[in-house]
Amino acid sequence: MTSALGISAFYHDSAAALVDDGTIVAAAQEERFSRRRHDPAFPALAAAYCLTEAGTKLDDLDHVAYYEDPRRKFHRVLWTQIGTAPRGYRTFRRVLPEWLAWKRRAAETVADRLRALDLGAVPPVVCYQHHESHAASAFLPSPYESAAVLCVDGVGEWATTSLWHGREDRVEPLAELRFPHSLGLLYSAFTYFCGFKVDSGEYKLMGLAPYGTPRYASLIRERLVDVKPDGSFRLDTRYFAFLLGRVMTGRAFEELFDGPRREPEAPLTEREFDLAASVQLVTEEIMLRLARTARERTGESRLCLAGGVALNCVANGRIVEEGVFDEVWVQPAAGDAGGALGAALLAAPAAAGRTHPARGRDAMRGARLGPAFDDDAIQRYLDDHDLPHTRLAPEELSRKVAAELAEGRVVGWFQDRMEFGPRALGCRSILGDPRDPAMQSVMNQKIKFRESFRPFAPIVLAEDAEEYFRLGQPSPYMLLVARLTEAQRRTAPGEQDARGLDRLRATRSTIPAVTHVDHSARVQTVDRADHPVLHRLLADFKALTGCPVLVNTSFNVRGEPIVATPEDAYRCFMRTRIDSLALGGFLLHKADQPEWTESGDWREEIPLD
Amino acid sequence: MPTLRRAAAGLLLPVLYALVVVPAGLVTRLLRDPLRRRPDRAASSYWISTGQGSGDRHR
Repeated sequence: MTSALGISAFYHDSAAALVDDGTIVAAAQEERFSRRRHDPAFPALAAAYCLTEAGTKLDDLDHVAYYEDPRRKFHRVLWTQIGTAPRGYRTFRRVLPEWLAWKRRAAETVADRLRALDLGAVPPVVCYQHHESHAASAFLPSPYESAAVLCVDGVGEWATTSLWHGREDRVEPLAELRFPHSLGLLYSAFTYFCGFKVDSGEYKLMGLAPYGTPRYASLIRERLVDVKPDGSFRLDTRYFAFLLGRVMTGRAFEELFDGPRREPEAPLTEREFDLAASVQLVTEEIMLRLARTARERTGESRLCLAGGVALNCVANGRIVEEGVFDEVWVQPAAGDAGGALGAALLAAPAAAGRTHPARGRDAMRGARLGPAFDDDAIQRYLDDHDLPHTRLAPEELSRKVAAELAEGRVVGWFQDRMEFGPRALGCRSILGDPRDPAMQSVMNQKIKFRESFRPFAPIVLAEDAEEYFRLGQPSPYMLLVARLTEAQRRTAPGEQDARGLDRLRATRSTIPAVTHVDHSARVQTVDRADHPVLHRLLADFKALTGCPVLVNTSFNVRGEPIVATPEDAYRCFMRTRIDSLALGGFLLHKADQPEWTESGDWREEIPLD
Repeated sequence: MPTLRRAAAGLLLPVLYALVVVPAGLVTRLLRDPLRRRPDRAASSYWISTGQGSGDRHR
């Protein structure tokens, strides 16, 4: 039996994960503890949490597993310098000193940082390749005995897209595409050009796409990316600037797409809608071709996905909709955080092999792999701060919250262990009534303080999902987008003539708050066995309203990491217009709370995402 | 000391770039573009095999 602590760090969204004999004991992103969104620092707090959760010290572990190979990555950095000389001096000056000083020895840095935690002697650090970690995180915890595995992201060492065959307890490499030819970087270039932040604004671009028409798609195919019938592709790097500096696009890109990039926070125009629609369409086309190749090369009927591009749930939904595979499973922490988990799973496989597929289940525990707070701990917090609350039995709490939601109140829902990965899946969530046409703008502007165009996602009782969504398979991690069924759609007067953001105002279904302008929704199906507490709440809401769906958005405000502790949750509750807060077995109402005061404007302290 | 190191790096980096990286880049690119920056419309596929026996797993 072996155990390992997986670490991903020093680029984006650092994380730690602890695996013991193939079982995932704990996993969490550093940002939740440090309160710095997508924190790239060494995940000291997340690592300490994982060890505490497992009741173990570093001495007891067999390995520390690092999610990429720093030396191989350094190799890529050097070749990029050689490949771009004499035009890349600015990048050279910026990156070479840090690579020489410590980045090429990141594994040793990890050992040093762990030693500084004073939690026992550090076991040997083993490095896996970036895409190997992604592939392991996609296949090993999946519910399949065997599957095709596709990893698509920005870049790790060299690989940007990789194809694997998952069998029994291993992933075997088949083929890859290499830097600078990257679907993740193509999508990020458009994210940047449309005025959003790279590595976090990609979601916004995806949300924007249904407002536009893909009039630039043929230009993208002709000039930016050459895609072969088997899904392999190359970018024409003359149009991009990421090889030479900090920015993604330059003058050539501007000349192609009608002028300079949109400045961050500037008004959105028809061009950005259409650029978003165009790059989204091309991304979906490439993903479909890659998926078909994965099926042909492996002969498998099931697909596992990971890598940042696997968070593009619209593209994932297309793979399901087109029936390329019988079933698709996406690692909920598909981005770099999930690399920590993949590396730990590779370093500490189960001695008896993978047994969960025989039970028809995945090994992710509903992604509930982070810290939990029992009612005693929450009671202490409430008493220490003298916060008015009511303690309720679980059934009573569920009925009461369902009744408040049915009355149009917005509820902060803090239960169970924190989710691993970028999505709140009903443990650190803000919930609302999806039937209310005003709910989307209320939640966007008064609770999340974010852009009005951004859609919200529904959670639905698994047994009722097909009545509402054309999904065809479970979606427990909110990583598939599906169309609403005809029965739930409504035609709003004047909808055909509306353009751009005006389309937001139309009521186009029985659940308008979670229906995007193209009648799509990013669905999370809630199964009674997997998620009993959330299932009960949905069932209670259905009993009151006949509707088995709720709005579910992450428990945070724009630019802030999702809340981790009762204290974080209470702070977010008081800063926003959330009406009620269910903290474990306790219910708090806004009207009963003491006045909330803070020095200065807290919103200025949170950087825009 | 950090100031001294920064100053040394400030002098050394341009020299290193001009005398090593630039010539290496020019010579390498005469033989082959290490980043394969242009699409090859005539190619039928861009996949690089990484399977067992391909010997190309580690670049």
